[in-house]
Amino acid sequence: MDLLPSTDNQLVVRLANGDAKALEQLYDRYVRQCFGLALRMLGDAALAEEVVQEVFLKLWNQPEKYSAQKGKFASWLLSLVHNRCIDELRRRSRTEVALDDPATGSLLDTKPDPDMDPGDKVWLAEQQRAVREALAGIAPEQRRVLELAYYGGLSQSEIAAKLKQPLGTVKTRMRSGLQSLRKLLGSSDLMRET
Amino acid sequence: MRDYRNSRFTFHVSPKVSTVNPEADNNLQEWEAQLADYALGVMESGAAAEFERQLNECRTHVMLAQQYSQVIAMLGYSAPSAEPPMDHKARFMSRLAATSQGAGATDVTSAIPVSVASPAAVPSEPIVGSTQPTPAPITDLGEYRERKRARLSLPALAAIAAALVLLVGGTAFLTSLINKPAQPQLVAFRVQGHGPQPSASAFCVLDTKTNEAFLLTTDLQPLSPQQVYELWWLPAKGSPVAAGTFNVDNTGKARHTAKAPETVAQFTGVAVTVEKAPGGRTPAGDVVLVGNYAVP
Repeated sequence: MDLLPSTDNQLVVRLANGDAKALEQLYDRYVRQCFGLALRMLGDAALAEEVVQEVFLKLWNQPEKYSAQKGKFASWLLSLVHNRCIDELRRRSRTEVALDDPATGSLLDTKPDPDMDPGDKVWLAEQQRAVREALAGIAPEQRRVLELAYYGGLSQSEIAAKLKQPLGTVKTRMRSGLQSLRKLLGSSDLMRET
Repeated sequence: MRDYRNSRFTFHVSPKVSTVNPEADNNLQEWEAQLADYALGVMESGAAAEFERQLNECRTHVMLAQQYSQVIAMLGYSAPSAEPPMDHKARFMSRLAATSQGAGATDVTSAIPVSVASPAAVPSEPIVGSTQPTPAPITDLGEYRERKRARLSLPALAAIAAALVLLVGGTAFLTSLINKPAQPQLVAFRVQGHGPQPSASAFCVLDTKTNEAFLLTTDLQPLSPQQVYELWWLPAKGSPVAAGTFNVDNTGKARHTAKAPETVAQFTGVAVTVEKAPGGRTPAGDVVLVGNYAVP
């Protein structure tokens, strides 16, 4: 009888039991991707650190917020980071988002961190490879619109104003981009629950 | 108003399922545009609530929304991963410990010093701030990367720190490292219902000095005279070890004490099963309670 957990879902169950070691394992597993996402969106390391801490604290205090119905735990966790960053971006000006800025990178820049645990590094590299390939498979103008929306927290109306393009054009590109990504990523196991 | 974004992944379709064929829906494209804003979390809360209300009336739209949400969630992998500052984890764990210690204790834990705190009560505000100095804000990622490349490796930093300690005569510091705080005597953790009794629960306290476990159960179902509950020690590898049998009263409560064969630290969890009386040396019945622990 082997009842000892090792998957993300089982670590969340242990965390809900008050097991701080489980939280620590999840932290070690995902902090780099969470911090990388927050840093990419906010461009401010101190703010990014604070966001990441708040997200993991929220996970500790409210583990019941996650359930397997919500998809993979990692994706859900990154969504928390994304939402928190959008809150921060809305709190201040949202005009700093750069397209393909060499300093901040683009949606295609996904090099794994060399100091990571080898197992986690391989896993993360696979996730990033799949997403990178999917993004490379959609049109550049669709990718640009997705970047502004995802990283900048801009609505389609705001994107249209920023790019000085018709709203209908932005909506079409957003919809087409998401549809294409859905097809490209839907066949992979990244979207399946653990 | 509640934050709709964290609930948008779970949709509940009302019994009244729409029979509209989305392929024939002339407003589908406009609806999908709204869905994109909604799934990206950039729709205003008022509009989002109305959108969600309408969304839940059509199963096909719910499925589309779930797929969009999952795709967008995966965009989190598109950002390059980055190493946070070396002290980030330490600061986070300190903040976590402060949050847990600030939480109120339950009735069961109030009289027992615990080494693994339960988040029984949630502070209304996260504990902000750290006693450690915060590095200056970085204005662009290029500066962050330069700063990262300039960092010394952890072993090198440790060697330099040790040399400095010796140079300034830090024997007191070294002595304090040798005389580390003793392992906490009591370790407490929750044991959750499992299998046929999901609503059962228990609290387990381990005494690391006497290597005993004290189990207090609630809401376990009374058994027939031919059955007993049996406690098991769970090792990291290998078979469970029998830890005695017990029965509950008519309210589902029981107290059971078990002594580990050697030390509690050699195990990583406990479980309770339903067995034929008088119990056995290997578990054969349903698991009804399980919990994990780690002895610091």
